[in-house]
Amino acid sequence: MKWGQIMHDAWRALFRHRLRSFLSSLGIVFAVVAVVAMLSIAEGAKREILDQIEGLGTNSIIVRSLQLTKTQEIAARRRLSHGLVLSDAKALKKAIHTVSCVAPLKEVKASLSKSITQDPFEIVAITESYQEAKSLAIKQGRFVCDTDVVRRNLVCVLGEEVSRSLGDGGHLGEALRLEDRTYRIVGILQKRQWMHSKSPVLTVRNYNRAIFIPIGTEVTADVQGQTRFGEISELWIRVARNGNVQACAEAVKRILNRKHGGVEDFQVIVPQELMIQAQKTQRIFNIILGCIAGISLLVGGIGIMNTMLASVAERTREIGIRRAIGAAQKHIVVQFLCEAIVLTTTGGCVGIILGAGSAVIISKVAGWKTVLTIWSVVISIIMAGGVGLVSGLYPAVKAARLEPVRALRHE
Amino acid sequence: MKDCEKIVEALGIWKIYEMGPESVEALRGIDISVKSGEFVGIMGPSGSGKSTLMHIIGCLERATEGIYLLNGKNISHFSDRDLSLMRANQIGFVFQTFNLIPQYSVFENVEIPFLYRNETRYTARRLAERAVDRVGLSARRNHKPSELSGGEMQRVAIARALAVDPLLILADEPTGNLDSETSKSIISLFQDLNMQGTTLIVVTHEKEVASQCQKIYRLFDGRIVNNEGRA
Repeated sequence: MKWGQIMHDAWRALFRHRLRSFLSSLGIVFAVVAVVAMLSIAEGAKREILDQIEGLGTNSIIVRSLQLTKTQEIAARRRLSHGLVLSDAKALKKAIHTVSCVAPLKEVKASLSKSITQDPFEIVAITESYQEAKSLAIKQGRFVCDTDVVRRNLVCVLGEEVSRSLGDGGHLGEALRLEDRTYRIVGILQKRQWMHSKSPVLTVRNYNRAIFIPIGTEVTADVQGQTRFGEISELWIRVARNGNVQACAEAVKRILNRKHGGVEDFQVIVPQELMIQAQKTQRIFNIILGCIAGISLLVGGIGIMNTMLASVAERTREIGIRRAIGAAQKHIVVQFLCEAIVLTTTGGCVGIILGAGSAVIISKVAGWKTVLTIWSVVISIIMAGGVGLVSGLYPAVKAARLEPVRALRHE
Repeated sequence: MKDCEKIVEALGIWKIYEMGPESVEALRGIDISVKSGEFVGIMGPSGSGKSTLMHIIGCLERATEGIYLLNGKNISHFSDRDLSLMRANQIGFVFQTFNLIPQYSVFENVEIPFLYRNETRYTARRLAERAVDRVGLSARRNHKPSELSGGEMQRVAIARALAVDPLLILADEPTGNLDSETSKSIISLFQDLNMQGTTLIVVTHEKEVASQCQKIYRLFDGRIVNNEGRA
C-alpha cells in the first residue's frame, strides 16, 4: 500500500467536490463542537469541585454547628446539649486514636474600626491546632498559640491580603481595632491559593483575607464563665494517614450524639464522601454527554455515508478502470475508506477548533470554568475517525464488490 | 519473432450468463492460442462474444467452463485477488472509450497502475515517463484528458498499458472512436510496439486494423468460425 499516494488521492477526490464535502462534514463538525464544548464545561466543573474538595482536605472531617430556633435551643439545653463547644474537640481527640488533630473555630461577626475595603475581612477565632489542621504557613512572626487562648491575649494573625490592605497598620506589632477591642498583630500568613466556591456546602475559606484571633477573646464570647449555646461554629478534624476517614466520621457522629444527648445540633461533612458523590454525578453527566454526542455523530455519520454512496455511484466507471489495471478489492476499500476518514477527521479538527472557541466564549459569557484537555481532543479525533470508518465501510465494500466488467460499462 | 512460447492458451472456453430464469451462452467452447510477440486480431459482429473473450483473456472475468493458461499458469480457478495481481503485473488494457480518469493529468493516468504494484515511487515515475515518451506525449504530460484529442487520449491509454511492461496488451476496439487519420496513427503505434516485441490482442471489426494482424480469430454466435494465420 502506498499510503502517501492514497491519502493524496483522497484529498483530491474530496477537494474536487468541495461544496459537497463541506456540507456533508458539517454534521461531524457540529457534533465535535458539541462534544468538545460539553467536555470542556464538564471538565471545568469537575476540576472546580475537586479543587474545592481537595482544598477542604480529603483526609478531613468537618463538624458544623447547626443554627437552632429558640424553642429548639431550649429543648436542647434540657437534654444537656450546649451546641458545638470547645470540650467536644477535646473529647473527640481523646476518644478517637486515628484523629491526628482537632481544630475548633468560631466565625466572628465583628468589623474593623475603619473599613478599608468594601469587601469585609473574615474574622476567625481559633486555637493553636488550627495551623496544623489547615497547614498554614507563616510569613512573619508567629501563629496564635495555646497560651494566647488560655490567657485570652488580645493578639491576632493576618492573612497576606489583609496585611497588604492595611498598609503601615498591617505590620507586626501594630494595633488592630476590632469592634471595641484592640489586638496586637503577632503574625502574617503566607499568601495561599484560593478558589471561589459557588457551592453553599463547600465553603473554602480565603485565608488571605482572614484575621485570626485566639478563641475566647472575641467580642461575642461569654465572659461570665457560663457556656454559651454554640460556643464554636466548626470543628476541623484531621485523620491520621493510617486512619479510615469513613470509620472516623462514624465515630465522631456517635460520640457527639452521645455528648449532645441525641440533639442534632451539628452536621458532619466528609469531603471524601462529597468527592465520591461528585464523581458519581460526573459519571451520570458523562453518560448523558456520551448519548448526546453519540446521537450527533450518528446523524453526522449518516450524512457521510450518503455522500460516500453518491461518490461510489458517480465513480463506478473509475472503479472499473482501477480494477482493470490491477486494483484488488482491498485497494478499492482502502481508497473509499480513506476518503471517508479524511472527510470526518478534517471535520473533527475543525470541530475541535470551533469547540475550543465555544468553550472560551461560554467561559467569558456565562462565567463557567471550562478546561480543554488533551484527552477530549484525542477522543474527538478518534470519534470522528471512527465515524468515518463505520459510515465509509458499507460504501467502500459496495464499491469493491462491483464486477470490473459491469463497472467499466457504467455510463 | 524471438520467442515462440505460448502466452495465451484457452481450451474449450464457455461463458454462460445467468439472466434470471434464462441462461445466455456468450462463448461456446472457444480454443485460442497466442504466442509471445504475436499481433492477434479477434473479429466478429456485435454480440458474437469478442469482448467477453477479451475480458476472460484479460482476467476481468472467469470462464464458466474450460481451461485458460496465461503464460503457462492455469488461472481458471484463481481468486479475485490473484486475478487482480495478474492484471497488475501481466496485462495492459486499451479500451474503445479510452477509460482515463478525468481529474488526473496525462502523467498521473499513466502512473496509476504503479499504485497497485511494488515499485518504488522513483521507479514508477521513471517508467511512467518512459511510457509517455514512447507514445510521443511528453509535451502534454500535465494536460487533463478533457484537453486532449481522441487520438491523444488513446495514446495515453496505450502509454498506461505499456508503462508496467506487460506480457500482453489487450485492445478492445481501439480505433472505434477515432477518425481515419487518427486510427492510422494508432495502428502504426501498435505496429511499432509489436515490432519491439510486444504481444498484442486486438478486438476489432475494422479491416485496416485486421490487416496488420498476424493471426485473426473470427467469432460468430460465441464460436470461432474461422482462424486465419498470416505468418
